[in-house]
Amino acid sequence: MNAISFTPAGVPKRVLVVDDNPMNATLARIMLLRAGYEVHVEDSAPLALQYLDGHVVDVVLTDISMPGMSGLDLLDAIRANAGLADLRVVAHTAFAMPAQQSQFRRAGFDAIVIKPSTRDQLVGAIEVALRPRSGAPAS
Amino acid sequence: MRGPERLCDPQAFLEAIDGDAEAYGQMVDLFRETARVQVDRSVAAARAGRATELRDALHALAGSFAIVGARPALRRIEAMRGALARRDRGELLRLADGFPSEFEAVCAEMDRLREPCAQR
Repeated sequence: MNAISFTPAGVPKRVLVVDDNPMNATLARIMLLRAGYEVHVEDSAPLALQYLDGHVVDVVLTDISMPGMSGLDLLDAIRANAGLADLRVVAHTAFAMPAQQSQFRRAGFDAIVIKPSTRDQLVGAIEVALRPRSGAPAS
Repeated sequence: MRGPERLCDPQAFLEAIDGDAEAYGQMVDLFRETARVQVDRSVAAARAGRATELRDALHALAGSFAIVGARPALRRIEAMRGALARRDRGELLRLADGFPSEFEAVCAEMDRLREPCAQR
């Protein structure tokens, strides 16, 4: 299994899971908890933004197709907020076509993982997203 | 010779949860509770001709059935999407009418797997 990242203080990285499907959200939560991350779940993009307003998170793992505000809309809102500049965002999606994945990369997701995913795939995507960005020190 | 296709194959998520019986039970209960609502919603929407609601329900169901590896049910969902796109109301209603019983069969199969999971 992939090794997971910790904060400099030795605390597990914090993942916010955003998915309107309770099965997907619960399975992702179980997998990430078992891998050793701290996990919080919200079932919509607006609630995720509300959570991010008052909590420190290292990675957002978001579904794309959600009613109202989509995962792409959530990404835009995060990227538009200077206070969330370091936040990594991973797309967790059933859109598996290469053209769709290219669209998500262009949109600015740090990593993409296709549903249904194994724990290794999920942890692998989170860890890819947590890699230091070019020119930035490792955290 | 290959046997009949299984109604569901939750192997992938069993691995993801290390075969934990409690987590398995939690997922099965959640599947039964949340997918049931969407199956009923999809049947009602198909009967009433509410296309947007039907698409939303089928989208939610596709995610849940994919997790439990219910390939026959996933094919039904694709067939319903196809019938909806072709505006083939007769085929759509035929597929929708068979959905609740297929859902119950998937639930029963997942329940059947609770015991071996608990004995791991």
